[in-house]
Amino acid sequence: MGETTTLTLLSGNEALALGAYHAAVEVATGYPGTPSTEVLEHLASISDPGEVDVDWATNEKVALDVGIGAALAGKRVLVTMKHVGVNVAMDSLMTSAFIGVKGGLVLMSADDPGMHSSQNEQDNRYLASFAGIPVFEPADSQEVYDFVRAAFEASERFDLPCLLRTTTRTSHARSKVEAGARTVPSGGPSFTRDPAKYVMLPAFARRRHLVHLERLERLEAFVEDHPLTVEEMRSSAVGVVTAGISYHHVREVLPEASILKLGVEFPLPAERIRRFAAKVDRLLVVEELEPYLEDGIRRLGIAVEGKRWFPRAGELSAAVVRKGLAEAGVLDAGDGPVERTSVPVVGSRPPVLCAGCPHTTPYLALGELDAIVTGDIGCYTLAAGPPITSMDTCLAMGSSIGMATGLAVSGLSSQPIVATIGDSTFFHGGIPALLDALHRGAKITVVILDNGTTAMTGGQPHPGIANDIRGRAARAVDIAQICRAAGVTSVTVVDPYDVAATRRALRAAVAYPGLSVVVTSRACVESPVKSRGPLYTVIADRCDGCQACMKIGCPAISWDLVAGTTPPRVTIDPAVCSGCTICAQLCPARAIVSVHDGTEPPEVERGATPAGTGAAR
Amino acid sequence: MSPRAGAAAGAPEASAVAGNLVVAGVGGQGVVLAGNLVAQVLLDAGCDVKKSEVHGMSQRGGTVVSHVRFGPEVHSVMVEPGSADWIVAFEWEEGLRCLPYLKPDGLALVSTERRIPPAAMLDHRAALDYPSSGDVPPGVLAVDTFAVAGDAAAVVPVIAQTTLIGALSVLLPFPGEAWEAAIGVWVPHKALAGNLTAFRRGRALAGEVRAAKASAAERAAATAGPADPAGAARTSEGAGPAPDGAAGQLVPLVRIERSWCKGCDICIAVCPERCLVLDKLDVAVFAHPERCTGCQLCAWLCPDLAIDVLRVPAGRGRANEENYARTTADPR
Repeated sequence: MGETTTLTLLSGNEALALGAYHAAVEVATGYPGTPSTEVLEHLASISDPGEVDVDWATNEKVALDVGIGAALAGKRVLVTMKHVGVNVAMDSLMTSAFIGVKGGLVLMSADDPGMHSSQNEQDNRYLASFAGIPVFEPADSQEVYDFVRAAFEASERFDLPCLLRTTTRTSHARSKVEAGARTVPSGGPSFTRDPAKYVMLPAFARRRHLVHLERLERLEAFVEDHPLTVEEMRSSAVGVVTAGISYHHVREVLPEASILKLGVEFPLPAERIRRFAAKVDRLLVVEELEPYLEDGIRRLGIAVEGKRWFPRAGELSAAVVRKGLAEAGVLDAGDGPVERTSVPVVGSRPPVLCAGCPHTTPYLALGELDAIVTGDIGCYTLAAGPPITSMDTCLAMGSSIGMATGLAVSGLSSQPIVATIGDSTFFHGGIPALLDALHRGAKITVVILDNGTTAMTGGQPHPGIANDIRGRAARAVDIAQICRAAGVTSVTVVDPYDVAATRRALRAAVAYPGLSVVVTSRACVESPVKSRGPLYTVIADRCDGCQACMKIGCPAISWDLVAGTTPPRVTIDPAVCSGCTICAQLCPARAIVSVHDGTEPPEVERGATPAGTGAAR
Repeated sequence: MSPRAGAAAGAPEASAVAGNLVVAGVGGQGVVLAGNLVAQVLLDAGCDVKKSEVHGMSQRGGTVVSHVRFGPEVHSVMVEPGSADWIVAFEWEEGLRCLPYLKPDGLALVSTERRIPPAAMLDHRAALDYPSSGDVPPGVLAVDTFAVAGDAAAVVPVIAQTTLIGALSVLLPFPGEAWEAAIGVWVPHKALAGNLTAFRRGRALAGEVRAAKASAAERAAATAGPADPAGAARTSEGAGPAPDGAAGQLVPLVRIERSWCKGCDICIAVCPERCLVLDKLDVAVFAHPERCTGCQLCAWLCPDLAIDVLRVPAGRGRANEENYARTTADPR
């Protein structure tokens, strides 16, 4: 590494971007997903367009394919995604181990133990070992920074993609990073024809499989003395094998233990583990989620304890590790801080849709239609919770349309069957399912909630947006045109801020004798710009507390308990109100009016956008 | 790991300083920024610092908690329950939620600002009862951040919470300039002046903050050993009344959907047995189940269809009703 230039407090994701940048990355892509999203955003902010080509891909498989292509041209490539995104990329990943890379390719998999914002908590060390590619797992931001470079080097040395696994607590925690400077990439792009290596016809693939197996043997030797795997000998009473964030939890609660910290978890360094095990009286494994290391060590014929004491579900913390060690008899049960036993009971505070969110009205209307609503992944999944509660399923990216088709072809006809999917999710995985539904003649309604951004992850552009990650102009794809071009005969575009029109459009769509599409088009209130129109307020004398507006679940609307009226009147917080007018349209008492001129929202021309914002298109 | 000497001058023996801080609030209140700001002060003072929070779902009005740990060498990124020296909470209920993190002699600086989640709003009573306890538990200093901030938060209300950072700064051995420099690094330029004013006004609470810290320490010393926090709020709802009536017998239960009741008092007027009353929020309550004959007149005449009359096994009736009352915030 070059001379130290900076010491800063970086999140793991920022450190990953900086580490890749300094390690001469030239192409970076991925699909947004918590906790991975900030990597590409940070990389775009610290690099020039001429240095690194950074942009979002339509989905994770496309991202990995783009990455493999760029790697074949000899560039160092970073591909980022969350853990479940790797499932989408898995098809390409499995065979990419056969064809290899030329420039280094690092695939960042941001796992989410504890499911802070994910639908499962799969452990992607298994996916990497399944594909037969090395897994690097750093424990803090400094290690993230250092490990990226090591992963690039290993990738080029072994002609394999490498997986860099972070978890929520490494990606989103900030710690000190001493950083160097960017290594200037050498050489322009080049592509050398090599069909036997790059064209995976069965005859070629059989040979490449053998190459891959031989390479795995060399990798096993390589990890034995890899410098990122560190043995810390202290007391010989207890030895702990661990990796990633778990290392720090162990250091916190068991400072005297000897530790073998694995920087590379696939393949396992068998001899190194044997030597370590021989030096300690009792061998424990502390790892989050699955017993990946534990099973591997047991297969080596070494006695080891792990998940017997530590949970397999949820994330670890110092407190959880302490509890497990107490159960294992390594620590006294009374050790550690004492938690207050008597504390006030507090209500839950689930995340909610923002004030002015354009996703509310379609779901309110669907609730009125008593439809079976298959949902998808995005902000709008929050419509499953109270008070809207209008979503019946949520499985994986793009699943809503296929599941609706399945419900329809199974013969259910008593209720309308409606798939709801966001714009970015539609591009990601919805389009093939829409074509499938169309081809089968499934009688479903597909509601595409187009808010012109990838909102849940903080507002990233997608193919429907006219700009890229750096804000430069890009070609925008029109969702309604895609549907019409595919042959959908009923495509309606409606402004979800027009409650009556949204209701009418959905009622007509579910009555349509065939597949119908409704695109609700209105820019997200938070992204790319915070939308604030003329605010609305409640005329207290007119409000009779009927709660029609409360059904929206708007965070700006609450009871005015200060006034002391019974039943209490509704009040709107001007600091939170976005001026969307939805509540005013729903109010049967016409009690909600514009602060600006005391008028109710106009019944016509509802297509107008709140001041200072642009509609999705 | 290579600890490096801090650049800040005047930081007293920063390497000897260690502690755990939890910052809590609601999405949009600036919890993450506040954590970054504190971490910046500590980094500049030469401490090892780690900070952790969960982004994602919490951005949509949910709970946001940021952990900041510092000392000569920090390992785990999360504060263990029972080990926070300080809690800074920008919302009352979120402060109470974090109390399990607080050390026995720790101090929680909690804003009296209250943000009631929309789902809880469906029920008048939940809105009134939220937060569930207005009492100030031991170890908590309630700060009316809007009053302290005054005109500094007039335009941008969230700036009021910066007063708590000022109050926190009293308890840490770093000069005010170090804090103000960090605010300069992290706060957007247009909000800088307001934040600095709010910070200084919070820091001016020094006397009150030190007194609260001293009394928390005293109380911890006095109750050393198994702590029984007198005055701590309830840990659960009542254990439930004794069963009444014979087993196997069905008795009427009037179930009122509180969120639909608008307090018109028709049911109260028509009930022949005078079973129903209006509570202080003008929501009908099934106050005298022992008198109810199950005639259903109330259910038939309720204009908002808010009343169901059920027949339930004797003995479970009242417990069920209480359970409904507890769960009305969740309509399904």
